[in-house]
Amino acid sequence: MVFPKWTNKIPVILLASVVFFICFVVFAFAYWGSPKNYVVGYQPVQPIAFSHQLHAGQMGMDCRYCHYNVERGRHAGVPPTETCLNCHKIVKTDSPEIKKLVSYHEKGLPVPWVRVHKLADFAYFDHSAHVNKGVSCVECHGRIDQMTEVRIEKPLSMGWCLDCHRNPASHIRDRAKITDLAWKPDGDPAQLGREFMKLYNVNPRTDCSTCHR
Amino acid sequence: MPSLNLDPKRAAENAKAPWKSLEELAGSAEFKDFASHEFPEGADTMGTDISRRRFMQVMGAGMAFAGVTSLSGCKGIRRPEQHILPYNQMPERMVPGVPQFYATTYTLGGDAVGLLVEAHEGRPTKVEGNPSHPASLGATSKQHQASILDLYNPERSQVVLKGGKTSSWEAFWNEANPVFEALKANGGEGLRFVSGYTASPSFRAVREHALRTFPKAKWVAYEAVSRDNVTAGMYALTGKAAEPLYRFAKAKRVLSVDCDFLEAEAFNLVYSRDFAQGRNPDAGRDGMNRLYVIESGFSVTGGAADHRLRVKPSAVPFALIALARELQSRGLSVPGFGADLGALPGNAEGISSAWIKALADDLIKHRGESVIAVGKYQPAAVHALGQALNYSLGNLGKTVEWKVSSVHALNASGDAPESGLESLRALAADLDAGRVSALVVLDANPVYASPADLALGSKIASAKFSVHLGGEVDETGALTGWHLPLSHFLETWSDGQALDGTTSVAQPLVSPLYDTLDAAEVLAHISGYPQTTSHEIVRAYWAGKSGLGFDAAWRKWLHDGVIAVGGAADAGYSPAPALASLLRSLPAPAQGVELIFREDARLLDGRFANNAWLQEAPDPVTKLTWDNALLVGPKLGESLGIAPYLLNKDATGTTLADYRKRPMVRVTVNGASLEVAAWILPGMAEDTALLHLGFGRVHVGKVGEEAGFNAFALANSASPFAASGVKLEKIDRLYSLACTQDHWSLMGRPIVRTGDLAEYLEDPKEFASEEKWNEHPAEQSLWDEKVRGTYDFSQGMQWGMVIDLNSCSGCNACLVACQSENNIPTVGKEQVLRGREMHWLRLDRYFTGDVEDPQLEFQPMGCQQCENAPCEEVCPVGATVHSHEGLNDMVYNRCVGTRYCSNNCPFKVRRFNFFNYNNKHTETEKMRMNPDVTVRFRGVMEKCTYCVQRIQRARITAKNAGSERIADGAVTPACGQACPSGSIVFGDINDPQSRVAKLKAHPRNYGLLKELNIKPRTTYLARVRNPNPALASQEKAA
Repeated sequence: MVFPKWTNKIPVILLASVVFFICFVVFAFAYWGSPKNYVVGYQPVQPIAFSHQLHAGQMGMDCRYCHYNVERGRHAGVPPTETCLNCHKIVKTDSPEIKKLVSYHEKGLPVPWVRVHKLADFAYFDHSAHVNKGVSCVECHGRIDQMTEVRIEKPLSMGWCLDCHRNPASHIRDRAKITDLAWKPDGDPAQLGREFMKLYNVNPRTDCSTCHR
Repeated sequence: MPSLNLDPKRAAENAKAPWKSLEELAGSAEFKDFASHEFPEGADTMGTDISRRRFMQVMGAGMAFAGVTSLSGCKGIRRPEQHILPYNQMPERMVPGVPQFYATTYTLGGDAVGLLVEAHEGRPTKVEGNPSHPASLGATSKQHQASILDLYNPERSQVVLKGGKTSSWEAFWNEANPVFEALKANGGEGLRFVSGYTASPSFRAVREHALRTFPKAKWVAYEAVSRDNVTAGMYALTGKAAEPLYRFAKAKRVLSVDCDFLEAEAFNLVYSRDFAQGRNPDAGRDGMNRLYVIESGFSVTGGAADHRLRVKPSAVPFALIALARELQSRGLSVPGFGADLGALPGNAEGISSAWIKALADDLIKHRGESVIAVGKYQPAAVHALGQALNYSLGNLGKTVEWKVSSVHALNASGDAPESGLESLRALAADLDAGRVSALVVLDANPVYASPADLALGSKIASAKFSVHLGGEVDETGALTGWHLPLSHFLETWSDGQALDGTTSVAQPLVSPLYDTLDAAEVLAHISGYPQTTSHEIVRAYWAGKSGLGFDAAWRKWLHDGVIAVGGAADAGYSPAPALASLLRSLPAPAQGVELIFREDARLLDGRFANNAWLQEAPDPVTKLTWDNALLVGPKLGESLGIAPYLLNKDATGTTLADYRKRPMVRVTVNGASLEVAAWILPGMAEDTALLHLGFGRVHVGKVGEEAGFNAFALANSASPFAASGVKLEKIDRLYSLACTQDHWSLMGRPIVRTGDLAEYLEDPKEFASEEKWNEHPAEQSLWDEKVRGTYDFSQGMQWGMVIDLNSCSGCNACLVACQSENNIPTVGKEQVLRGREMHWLRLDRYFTGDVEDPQLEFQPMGCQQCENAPCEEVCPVGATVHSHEGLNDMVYNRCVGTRYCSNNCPFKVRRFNFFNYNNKHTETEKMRMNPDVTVRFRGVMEKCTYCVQRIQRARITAKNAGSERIADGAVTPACGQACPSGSIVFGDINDPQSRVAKLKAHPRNYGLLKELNIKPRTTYLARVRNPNPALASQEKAA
């Protein structure tokens, strides 16, 4: 016998490896390589353990108390440290997290929040243009009010943007309910959305220069 | 001797058709070869003969300063971690992502212009004019636009230097304070201050205080190119230091005596607007103005002229004297000059008496509605005579106002103000005699910008203590004991007073990026002024003027950008007895070749030499970039042996590289000699050479250090702007000149349309029509237009632009504004030589008519936004596609750089990033970028977008306010906003009430290359000239 017996398994192992490898490559490209998936679930650790679930969810604070700019500008606005201290001058001042916040404030340093939702630099998204036309926060950000630490829920890819720009009806709601993330329409959301589209004059554009300049 | 070698057939064809260069006119094979390539040969290689090092230097002026910032980004290859840094304490009314505009004031050489500066999250990014400031009316010059680049220049002076070594403010004051204490004790004996002219009232107050503290000190106020001659002439006429202000909107006949009022004179932004307003051909035969220009060089004002008389420099005054005589003989009295005029020598050579007679007739017919404008380079006598003629013609108070100047205060005895050059000469003498112990130079560079015979540079060392405050370590700063860094005007408080007396506050947009002070602050420290910071100095000055309610008034001034409009006192006619002898002091017309020096249209007297935007902006007339050159007319060029312009063909055999190389000439004058590149400019006066000031600087940053030739080295303080007895000889050297005139040629197609007023009035519809200019078969598309599917251009807002060629002066402000708004890189001289300049908007300059005496036509040319765009048909990746509003969108991230689109573009307006021009920026340079516009990478095509970011901003603002339509005028592209003459109008062509729609319906409106059926959205209004029928018939006869 020239070859030991175990060599008989080599073709099988090789075949299995090749099949596995091909499957892996296909899966890897399909999953991580797809813009639909590669950002979803991104959930960095923030310098201060701020919980949206507590503030926006349990206590029911309106998103716009902190993200004050969302109806006026391109950026929704991350609140200045002073906004936090409006309450936390007296609330929970002994919590280690609040102490961190106060120490940033005392040193005059900004809190280095880690950016979660990020579009490419050549995409010019404008919060005000969407919010004022009845697109709720939840459409792009998901149920922030249920997240202790914020993560990406939606793909934020160009194709996903265009899906809505082409068929916006089911994503449009009453402006009064914009920040009510749990709100569900009675009946067909598209039917209701079409009414609000008429009311708010919603004509989403799909020209390249709408977002790219 | 070589001859002009003009192809007679082509030259005859071109009697009317425009040409861009002599090579094109000559129809030379080299030109055809050059123009038939989209880019010159070798455009896609880096080249070997021209140093790559130089390119890298210019591009990456700040490479050495760049920190290692990118390593931290390597943590996540797929997703670099980014931080959002919120404010601790939110500034009031700040909306992140929405730009804020603040009013401020820009002062330069004694004049002030109100600006609005755009700031993104506290960093200034763009300069606009302030519509409520009467010296701006919303317009800006190219220098205003480019000033923002200086703020972020990494080569700016940032630290205190002692003998060239880094020091500190503390060390400086430790050494300086005892010096100034001792000087206070002796009354300032031996102390000299040097500064430019100032338009700032608060700075003048600090200066007065300093001169009270140091009564024996002397203040040397000096500008290399000043309006001293104007004020001296006005002083002879009025007994006051005064300035004439012209109201061109009301003037029917304008004579410019070497006065480049559309570009180089103070108040030119307003003059451009007013002149354009008076130049409306629809106002009829008597309504449209007529411009006569007498000049030796070729200015944009000369290009706008209906009649231009080329006169040798020394004969220009005599042309005006000849006119005065003609006017006298028509019964006009010219008080103060009457007897004198007859006693002067007869007509100088080259002044056509028919021309002068026709002009005199025209002026007599339009008494009270004409303007005689005299340029700042002309001697005082010419100003006095020109303004006296304005007085005699009844123009004073109607089209001309004489205003007391705030720049020059008369001394107590009412003597004429000392000219800047005289005080500088006195300083040079004092330095020589060792009478100067301490020299304080405040934001001035007299060592470079002064005539060579003063030899100031070699004399500064005689002052024991010398200090220079400046924005860069320039020729002066390199020689003084100390150099102090100066704050940029956007970093400090100040104020300004315009020529008409309008006052305004200059507020900072950002706190100083480095540890810098401004001139008022340093002077306040030195002299012990009660206030020490610029904010306190300015506030205290105006609090003293305002009294009660100051706080409310101050806020309003800052908001409006204007304190009070106008207010300069009128200077009445009160001729001095010395007036009579003034004319006799004029030197007689000279023989032989004369040389004149003029401020460069971009770098001025050299203070902008390190500004890449201005270096790369082509000169409006010559289209030279990155250099100046000795300009001579074709005839003089021929006698020098430097024409024909296709060089050394027989000797070396012409290659394409040689096409861009030009012969050099040795200029010998005033005992000095200089070797300079020569350039043949049609339209120069005979036997006249012109060299622009501002180039050839030695101590300047990497941008300006190899640019051009220093004209100051030839100048003499006895006659700083003109010299006779000039010797020119060709030398055996060639020099590369980066001239853009032949780039992107449209090969003689009829895209510039121009005619006479009579033709226009006869048949307005025919004037610019296709039938007349461009006969072609019915338009047909090469491709099926229906493929475009859903585009319905009759719906919604459809953007379009109209450019009025009749009022465009060709100044190039639009080009620099576009560069600033759209993050367009500069590429450096070598790249321009290869035809790779990136300007989205170019200003094509055409000559028409005779080689020796042509007229100029200008045509701003950006993307025409064709509805039926040829570029879109050939892009293999859909990177350039149409929008529903008729824009030709460019999608950078799809572009793979095939350049098919550029090849297929009939206008050659697409620009390709051959290199990664944008990756060498330092962190400070990045701050000047407009965050609303993508910064493009290597290998990507780009072009004019109609400033789509402004359209989108206006749309979102309108929609947030509940409106679907953007109001007419809410969107103005950067070019149109900067344009001084208001020639660029933009808007919705579907709205019949919009300005642009009305202009599109105008009979002078025409689109380019209609035969291609590309339907451009940008159209032009044909130019109308208004020649004097009396002269026109003579010209025809000649």
